[in-house]
Amino acid sequence: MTAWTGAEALPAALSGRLIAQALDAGFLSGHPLRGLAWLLAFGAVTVVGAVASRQVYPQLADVVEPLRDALTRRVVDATLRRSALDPAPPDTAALSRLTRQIETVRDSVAGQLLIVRQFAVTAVFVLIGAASLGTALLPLIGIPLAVALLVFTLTLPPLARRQRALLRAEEDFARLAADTFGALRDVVACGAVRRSDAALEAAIEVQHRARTRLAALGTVRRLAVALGVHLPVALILLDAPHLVRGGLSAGDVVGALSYLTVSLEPALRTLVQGLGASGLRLTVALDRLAEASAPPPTPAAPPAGTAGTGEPVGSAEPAGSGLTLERVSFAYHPQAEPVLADLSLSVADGEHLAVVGPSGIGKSTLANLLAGLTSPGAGTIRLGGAPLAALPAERLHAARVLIPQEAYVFAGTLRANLGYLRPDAGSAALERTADLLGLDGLLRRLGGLDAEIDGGRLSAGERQLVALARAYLSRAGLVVLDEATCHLDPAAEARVEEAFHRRPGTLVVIAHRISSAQRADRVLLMDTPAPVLGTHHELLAHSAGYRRLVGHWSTPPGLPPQALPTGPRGAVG
Amino acid sequence: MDTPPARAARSADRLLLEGLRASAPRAAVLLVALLVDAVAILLLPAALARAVDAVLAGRPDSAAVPFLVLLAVTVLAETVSQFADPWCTAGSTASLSRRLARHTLALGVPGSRWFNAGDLTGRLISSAPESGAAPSAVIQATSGLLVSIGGLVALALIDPWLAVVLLLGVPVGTAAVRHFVRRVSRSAGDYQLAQAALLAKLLDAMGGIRTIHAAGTHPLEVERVLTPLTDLDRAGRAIWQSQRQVQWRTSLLLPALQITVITVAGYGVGSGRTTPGQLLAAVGYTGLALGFLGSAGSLLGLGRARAGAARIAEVLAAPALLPGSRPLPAGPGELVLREVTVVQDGRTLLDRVSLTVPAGRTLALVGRSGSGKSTLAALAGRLTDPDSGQLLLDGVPLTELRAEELRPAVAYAFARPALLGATVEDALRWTDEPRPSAEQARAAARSAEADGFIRRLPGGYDCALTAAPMSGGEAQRLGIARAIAHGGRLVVLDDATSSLDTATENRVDEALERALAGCTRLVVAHRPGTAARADLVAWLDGGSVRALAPHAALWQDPHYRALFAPMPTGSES
Repeated sequence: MTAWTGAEALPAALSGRLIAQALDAGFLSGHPLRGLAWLLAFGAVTVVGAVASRQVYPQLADVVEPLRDALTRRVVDATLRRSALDPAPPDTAALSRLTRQIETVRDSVAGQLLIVRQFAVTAVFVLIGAASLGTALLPLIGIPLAVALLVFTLTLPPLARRQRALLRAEEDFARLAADTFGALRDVVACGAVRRSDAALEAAIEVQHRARTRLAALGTVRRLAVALGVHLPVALILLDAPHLVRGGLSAGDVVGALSYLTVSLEPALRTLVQGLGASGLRLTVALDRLAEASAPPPTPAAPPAGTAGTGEPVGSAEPAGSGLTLERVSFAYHPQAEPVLADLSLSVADGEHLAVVGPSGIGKSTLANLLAGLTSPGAGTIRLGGAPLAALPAERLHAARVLIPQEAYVFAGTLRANLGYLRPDAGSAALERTADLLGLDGLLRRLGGLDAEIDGGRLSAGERQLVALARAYLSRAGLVVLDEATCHLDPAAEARVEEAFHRRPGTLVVIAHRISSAQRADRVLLMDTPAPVLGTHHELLAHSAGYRRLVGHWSTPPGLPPQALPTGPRGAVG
Repeated sequence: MDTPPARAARSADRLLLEGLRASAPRAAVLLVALLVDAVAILLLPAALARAVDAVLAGRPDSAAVPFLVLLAVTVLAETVSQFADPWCTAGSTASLSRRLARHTLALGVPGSRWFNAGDLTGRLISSAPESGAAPSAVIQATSGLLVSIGGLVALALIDPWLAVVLLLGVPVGTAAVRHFVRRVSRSAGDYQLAQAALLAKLLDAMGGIRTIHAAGTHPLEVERVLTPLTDLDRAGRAIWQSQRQVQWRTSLLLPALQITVITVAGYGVGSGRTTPGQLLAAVGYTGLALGFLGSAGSLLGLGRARAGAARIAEVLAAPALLPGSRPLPAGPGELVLREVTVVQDGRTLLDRVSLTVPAGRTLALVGRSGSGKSTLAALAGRLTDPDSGQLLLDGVPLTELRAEELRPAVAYAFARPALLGATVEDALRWTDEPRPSAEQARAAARSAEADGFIRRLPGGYDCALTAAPMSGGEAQRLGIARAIAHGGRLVVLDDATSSLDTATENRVDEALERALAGCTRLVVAHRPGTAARADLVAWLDGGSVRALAPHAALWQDPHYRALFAPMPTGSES
C-alpha cells in the first residue's frame, strides 16, 4: 500500500515545482514549447497519481468489510445473550439503530482512512516540494500548519462531547415520540394531551440547543484552515521581496503559492471537515456498539449456604428425571414481595404435574426455575437428584426441555425446525411425531419435511405444534410446557397432552385450561397465601380456590348465580 | 382540476416557504455571510494575481494589502456561515417539529387510523430535519451557483479561451458523476436487502429467545442470523468497485482541466497576453467555476427537503379534532346518542343509533366483532366524532365542550392499554394537571387487583415502566387502575378485562362496582358474566341496536346466547 501511496502523492509533491519550471524555463523565458513539455510532465504525473489512487479501494474493502462482519457478529451474539437474560420484549427500533451504527462505523472508517492518509501524504510532500524550491519557505508553511493541526486536535474532545449530547437528545426524542404516538388513543382518553405536548416540546428544545452548541464549535474547522493555509499564503506574500532577494525566482513564488492553494488547502479542508463530522460519528457509534456488545452482566453468585449446594459446577450427573424443590424462594428484587416463598415439592420420575393459578401469580417464573433458566434466591432444585445449579450447561440442555407460550419457528425447512433439538432424527421419526401430535395436516399442506417454512406465515397454533413436536423428539427426560398449547383448540390440546403423557419422562404443564389439570397425575395450585398440591379430586374436595378456578373455567356460560339489579330502562330511538 | 400529487407538491412548497419565513433572521445571517464570501472569494484570485505581479515587478509593499483584506473577509464570512448553516437548519427543524408534534396530538384517534405510529414518528424525527434543511440548502445552492458563474466570467475576462476550455470539459465530468450515482444505487439496493434479511433473522431469534436460551442453541442461532453476511460482503465490495471507477474518472477530470487551463494561460504569459499572477488566478478561478459540480449535494438536499416537507404537509393537512368552548355543567353523567352514524372506508359501522345511557347505571354493549361496539365506545368520550348525529353528556353536545372539561369527566380503560409514564405509579396518574394523588393511585390499583403484582415488581410502585415485565392481563389491570384513579362521571370500559382469567375478572368486576359507584358506565362485554352484571344490555347488530333490555331478558333468545358461545379454536384470541 505504501508504494502506491507514494505514487499517488506525486502530483501533490511535484505540482508547484513543475509549474515553477514551466514558467521559469518555458513561458517566462520565451520557450513556450519547453513550458508545454513541463506541463505535459505534470499531466503524466497526475495520471500516475490517479492510477495509484485506484489501488486503494480493493485494499480499503479488505479492511472495512471484515471489520463490518466482525462488528455484526459481536453485536448479534451479545444481543441474543442479553435478551436471554432480559424478559423485556425486543426493542426493534434499538436493533435497527444498531445496524445503522455498524454501517456508520464501516463508512467512517473507510472515510477516515482515505482522508487522513491523503492529508498526511499531501502535507509531507508539499513540505518537501516547497523546501526544494527554497528552504526559506519551510518555516513559513510548516509552523502555521503545525499550530493549526494542534488547535484542531485540541477541540476534538469537546466536539465529540457535544456530538454525543446531540445524539443522546435525538435518541431520547425518538423514543418519546414513538411512545407518545403509539399511545395516541390513551393520551387523548386520559386527558394527557397538554402533558404529552409539553414533554415533546421540551425534548425538541433540548435537541435544538444541542444542535446550536455543536454548530458553534464547528466554526473552529474554518479557522483551522485559515491558520494552516491562508496564514502561510499571507506570510509568503508579505515576505516575497525578501524571498526574491534570497534567490527565489518568479516561478518559485508562484509554485509555492500553488502548492498551498492547489494541493494543501483542499486536503486540509477535507481533513477538518472529515474528522470533525464523520470522525465524531465514528467515535460515537463505536461507543454505542461497545456498550451494545459488552458481555451481559453475569448474575451474582447465590449467597453461600442458601442456593449454593457446595458441589462444584460440572460434577453433577442427573439420575432419572424426578424433580425435587427444597425450600425454594424467589423474588425479582430484594425489596419486592417474593413470587415463591419456601416452596418444597417433589415430582416423581415419570409423573405428570399440572400447575394452575390466577394470571400473574408466578407460574412462568416457576417454569423458568424448574428449567434452570433462573436461579432461586434460596433453596435448591434437583433434577434426578443433581442440583440444577451444579449441572454443566450441556448436561442441563440435554436433560430437560422448556417450551414457552411464544413458539419459536425460524425461516428454514420444516425438517430443520422439527429436528432442532435432535438433529440426527430420521424422516421416519419426524413423520411419526408429526402424526402423533396432529401436525400431519400441515405436513401434507406444505408438501413434506423439506418444505421451506417461515414463522410469520404459519398460524399461532401451527407454530405451537412445531415447537411441541420439537420437544417431543428431544431426548430430554423432563419436559416443561409453559402454556405451550394456548393457541390450540381443546381437542388438539388434548391430543398433544395425551402424547406427552405417554412419552417416557417427567412432564410439567403450566395449564391454560382446567382440562389440562384433569389429565395430570397431580395438580399444583399456585394461589395466595400458599400453593396447594394434590390430585384433581383431592383439590376439588379440599380447596375452595381450586373449586372457584374450575367453576370459572368450565361452567358453560349462562346466568350468573346472583340476583340481577333492576335498572331504569334506556330508550331505543 | 387539482391532482393529489400536484397538490401535495404545492403544499410542500408552501410549507417550505413558511419555514423560510419562520427562520428568516437566521437565514438572513447565512445569506449575508455567503454573499460576502462569494464576492470576496471571486475577487481573491485577482487580488492574488496583482500582489504576485507587483512583487515580481519589484514594487511590493501596499500591493498585497487588498489580497490580505479579502482573505480576512472570506475567513470571517466563512466562519459565520459555518455556524449559521446548521443554526438556521436547527431553528427551522425545531419549529417544524413543534408544529408537527402538536398537530399529531390534536389529530387524536382518527389520526392513528390514517397514519401508524411508526410512520408518524418517522415523519417527526427524519422528515422534519430533512425539510428543516431547506432554507440553508436554497441559500447554499444559490451562492454556489453565483460563485461558479462568477468564476467562469473571471476566466473569460483573463482570456476568453480559458472559459471555452472549461465549458467543453464540464459535460464529460457530469456524465461520469451520473454514471456513478446509477451504479452505486444498484449495489446499495442489494446491500440494504442483505441488511434487512439479517435484521429480520435477528428479530425472529429474539422472539424465540426463551426457547433458544432453554435449549442452549445460542451459537447455532448466531450463525443462522449471520448467514446474509456473505451477500452483504459481496454487495459492499461492489460498492467499493464502483467508487473506484468514479474516482478514476474524476481524479483525471479536474487535473486535466487545470492543466489545460494552465497551458492556455502559459501561452498567454509567453505572448505577454497574461501575467504570471493571472496564471495563478486562472487556476483559482477554474476551481471556483467547477464548484457547482460539488454543489450538486445541496441540490440533492433540496430534493430531499421537498420530499420531507411533503410528508409533513400530509399530516398537517389531516383535520384535527377541534375542541368546543362550552363548560360542562354539574350533572349525574347521562349520555345520550342521537341518530349517530359512523362510516369508515365506505362501510357503515353505526347506522343512525339513538340510545340513552342512564345516569349512574351500567350499560353493556354486546354484539359480534364488527358490530360497532368499540366504535360506540370511542364516540362516548369523543375519541372520534360521528359522521352525523350527536352525542350529549348531561345535555351538552360533546363537540361543544372544552377539552379541559370533557377529559376529566370521562375515563377510559382498554383491552390493550398503552401505558405511559416514568414509573408504574406515574403511569397510574397519567393525565394533565390536576392529577390524582399517589394515594388515590394506590387505592385504584388495589381495586383493580393490581396491587399484588405491582408490589412483586422490582421497586414496587417506583419500578420503571420500561423495567416492568408485564403480561397482557397485568397491563389490563393497570389500565383499569388508571381509569379508576382518573375518575369522572362517565367510565368507558372497552373490553378492558379480556385477558384476565375468569376468577380475576370477577374480583375486578366486584371491585369496580364499589370503586365506581355512582358513575355512569359503558362496558363492552364479551363474557356473559359482565353483561349480566350490567343494568341494561344494548345488543348491537350490523351497526344498529337490535335490542335494549337486561341480560336476563335477552338470554331467552338463542341468537343472543350464541354471541357468547366459545370460539372453536384459539379460546383466548
